[in-house]
Amino acid sequence: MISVKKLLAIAIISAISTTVVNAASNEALVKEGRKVFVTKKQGNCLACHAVQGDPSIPQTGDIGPKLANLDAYPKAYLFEKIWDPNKTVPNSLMPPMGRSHKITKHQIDALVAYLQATTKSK
Amino acid sequence: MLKKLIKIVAVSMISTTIVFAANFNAQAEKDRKAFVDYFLKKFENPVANRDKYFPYVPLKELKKDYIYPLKFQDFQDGPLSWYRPSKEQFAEINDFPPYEIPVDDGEELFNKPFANGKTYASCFPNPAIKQNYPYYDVHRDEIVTIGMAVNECRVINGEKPLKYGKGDLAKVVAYLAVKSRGKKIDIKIPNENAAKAYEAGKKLFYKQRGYLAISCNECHVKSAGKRIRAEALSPALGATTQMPVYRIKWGGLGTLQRRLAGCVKDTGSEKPKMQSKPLKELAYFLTYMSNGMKLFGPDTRK
Amino acid sequence: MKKLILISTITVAFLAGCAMNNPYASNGVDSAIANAQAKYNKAHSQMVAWKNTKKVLEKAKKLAKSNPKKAIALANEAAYEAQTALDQSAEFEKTWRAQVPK
Repeated sequence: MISVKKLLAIAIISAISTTVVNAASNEALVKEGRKVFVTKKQGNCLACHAVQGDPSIPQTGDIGPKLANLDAYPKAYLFEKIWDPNKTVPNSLMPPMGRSHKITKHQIDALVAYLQATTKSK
Repeated sequence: MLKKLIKIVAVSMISTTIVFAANFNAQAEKDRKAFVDYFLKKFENPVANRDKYFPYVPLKELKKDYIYPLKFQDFQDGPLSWYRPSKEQFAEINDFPPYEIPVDDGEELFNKPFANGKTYASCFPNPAIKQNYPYYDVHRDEIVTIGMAVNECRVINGEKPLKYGKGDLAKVVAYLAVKSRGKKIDIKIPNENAAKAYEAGKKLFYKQRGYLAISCNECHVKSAGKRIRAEALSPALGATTQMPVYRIKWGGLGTLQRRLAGCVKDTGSEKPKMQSKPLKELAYFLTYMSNGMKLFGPDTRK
Repeated sequence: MKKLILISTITVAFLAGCAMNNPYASNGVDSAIANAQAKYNKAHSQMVAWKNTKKVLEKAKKLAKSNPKKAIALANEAAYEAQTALDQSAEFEKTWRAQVPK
């Protein structure tokens, strides 16, 4: 028989470790997202956008808005926006990088993770 | 009485013809005026009109780096017309313009006799003609570009045509461009098919394409005066006045079509072929938009 | 027995449903390549083909014998690109005129 105490301890430990693992994987995702953002052959997002909270990105363009407070938006909304912005804004200047298969769904998830973590409103 | 009637009929026929002739470019003129107007307003005072035209450009940068107000002819300078850092950089480069040697080569080629003893001058007795190109040839029913004219001159004289876009052809065109400096661009739309060619070029300019789903318009009208990465985007108005252009990236001269084909490819589209119908139509439309501007090519660009 | 038929019917229907979810996918290397080629030709003739689609298609053709699985994936990708180019062109056909300065 497992005691209640032991059960509780197991539950707590597993909860903590899950959080730790999640945090670690999210950190990796954020890092990957930044790479997608700045790499010319991937997202190349810096061509048009600067990022609030990440001033170290060199030579950002100023065609699109400086990205800020994106944690206020649902992940799914940001995903759609990157997949094909023409859906929400017809004739958007922004290229449909997902729809065009220039970046993968995973890379878009990474971008969203990076942008939400970096542009967090305080 | 009969004489009078004939006279009236004749006069009315002539005037009808004139009205029709004027009609072929009616749409194009409307487009052109709105196009010029857009650029003049956009670059009249970027600081005061930031909200309308440059919402994402930092105010500090607008105040420090932007040259304004721009007048009609100022747009001949492409990205250097409005972006001070580029202008300063290129002022230094053009102390010894890299296009000078290729232009000299072009002059030599122009005056060097073909095997039959004639020269290009047999086709271009007055080399100051670039302002009329590309033109719509109503007899051939097609757009004739200056590159085509150079090659056709060669063929008439028993020479092989040159490769389009760069090399010797671009050098000869550059010589013609220098000779045409100061002439005002004067593109005409002489008939209905010419108007159709203009419309086709206009569509190519405004319709998004390629895997980036962007258009010439989005970068060189809407975003003209902004930066893509660190690069200043050039206004489409006046874009053809500087051609052929010496690009540092190319390490040599390139014709208008070479530049346009590269731009189309940058949208993620297949690269159109030199002298293909769509590329000529795009060149025809774009050059028409700069009607009335003085030529001053070639110039140097990144 | 009846149960088995029911299950297999459901399975088949499910698989068919999956296949229909991706309208550009097709089975069999030859048909995949033929499908991609037809779509590419159409996009190319309308001058809207993307710059890498032909390359992807050529690669699929090259691998058709040695690696049919990879070839099918590449052909389907080329077909997707060509079809998306055509779709986009049809969408922008409706809106480009509104972009002309007035």
